[in-house]
Amino acid sequence: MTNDEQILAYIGQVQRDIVSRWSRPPSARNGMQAVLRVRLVPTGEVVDVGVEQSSGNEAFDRSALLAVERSARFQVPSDPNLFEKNFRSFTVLFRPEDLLL
Amino acid sequence: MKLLSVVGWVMGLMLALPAVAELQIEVTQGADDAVNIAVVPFGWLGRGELPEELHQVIASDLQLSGRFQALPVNQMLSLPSVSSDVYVRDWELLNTEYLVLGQIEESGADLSLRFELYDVFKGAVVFQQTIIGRDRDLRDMGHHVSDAVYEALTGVPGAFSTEILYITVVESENGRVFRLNVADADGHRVRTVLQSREPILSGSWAPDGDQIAYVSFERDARPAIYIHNIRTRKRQQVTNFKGLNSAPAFSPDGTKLAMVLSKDGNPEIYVLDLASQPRKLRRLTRHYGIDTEPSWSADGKSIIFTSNRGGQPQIYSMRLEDLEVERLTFEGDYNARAVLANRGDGLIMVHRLRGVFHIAYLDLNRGFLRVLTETSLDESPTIAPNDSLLIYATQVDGRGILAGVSIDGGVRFNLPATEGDVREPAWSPRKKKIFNPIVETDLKSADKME
Repeated sequence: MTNDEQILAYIGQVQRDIVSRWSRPPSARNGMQAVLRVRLVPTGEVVDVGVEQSSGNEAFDRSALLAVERSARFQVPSDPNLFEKNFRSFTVLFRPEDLLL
Repeated sequence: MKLLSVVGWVMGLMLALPAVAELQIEVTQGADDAVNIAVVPFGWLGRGELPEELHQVIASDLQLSGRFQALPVNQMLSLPSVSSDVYVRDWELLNTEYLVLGQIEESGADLSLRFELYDVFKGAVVFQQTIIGRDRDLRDMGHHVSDAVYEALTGVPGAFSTEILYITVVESENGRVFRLNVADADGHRVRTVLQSREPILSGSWAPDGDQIAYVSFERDARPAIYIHNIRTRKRQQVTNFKGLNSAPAFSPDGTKLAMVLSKDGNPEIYVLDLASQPRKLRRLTRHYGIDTEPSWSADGKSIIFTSNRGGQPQIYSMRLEDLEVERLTFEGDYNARAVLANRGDGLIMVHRLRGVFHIAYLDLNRGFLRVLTETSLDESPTIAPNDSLLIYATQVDGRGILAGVSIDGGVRFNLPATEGDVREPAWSPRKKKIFNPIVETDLKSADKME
């Protein structure tokens, strides 16, 4: 496995973790977007999460924050280089596409 | 599939821009589980016992909305009534995300309710409020708490303090009895506004939430439209035309009443100006087809109605300014009883799909139609003033009941059963009772000071 493939596998896992914990409020609409900044320690624990770009809907932002907070800990590469480059600090774009409205 | 394509997109980006691009993970789906909430029995500082268990009212409201899962009281490990007594671990063990805590204090004839919404995950109070009411207002106070909690957690105002108007038909040995009832949105506190041996139809609300209009056959078994103030119990007959007098609908400013009359031949839509003296009647439609079921646009400048002028019942809109008609529905061979929803971006209506009547949402901007209900023989949809829930009449085991569905189709529920057949629900546009919270210290700034 190349480094890129490894990273992609971890990214996929982070996505699945967040998707399974993201409960959107009834005010959420397709096309809304919020960007969160997530900071991890090398064990994968979330040490900080904040809104970098608000959706303009407080309940939507809160639901995104909660999804990351509830995840609490992500699986990250044990290789310190890969961790530092990609997972020490990254952003998550929340942009629903599967809502009915 | 979507996840894969996103991963693919991320891979493309990363291969194209190694080292430079900072990682951004894209999340386009969610699980949308109900939020776990515990409404802890409220503390009571007063004499005797309270006539209502407020926590039950609130838990049942939140549960009914489908967005929340309320923890049964017998599973709670502790029963704090103020946030300073919360032991977070008790609730983390139960996976509870939020707590509703409260304390009611008797002061003279008044009851003062102080309540808090507590975020277990953050270990912090989201907001707190104090409201004052009387014994008889207890359920209203409970609905106020439900509304406040719902709005804080969903971003949409709650509609638990509103009322529902509906018609019941009870068959007895002495014949049928029709009742026009008003109940709280949770189905409790039913009051009968009118009772008759002759049919009652088409109850609808004025925007003030005090007046209603309906059709009653009480005089000579012929239909006439009445306006009735349910608080003062004064009522007046507003039409007595030959033939049909049906489907009254108040304009958003309450000064006009749209209706269907057949006095000039076949059913046509008219608007009665309630403010003018004598009241002026304006005919809107002129067509040999049947025009019926008028409802108003939010700005009061257009009427939405059902017409079979194209051969089958479809929804049309008419601009009042120049009577210009536009057809709105094209999918299916039966669309009727439409009301505008989602800030005018969509229509809620009865739609026939493969011979079965369902409630459907039509997105007017994007043109797609979505069936919201799984029951059959669904009719008379009415939308909550918060634009996010609707109730409708349906048949279960051959009996008419009221059921609800969220406008995104995600949540479905049945309202508590009442006697007889239930028909034609209409959701009130206003809260029954409004409590103005006593201003307290701003918690957010208090947090910052710590």
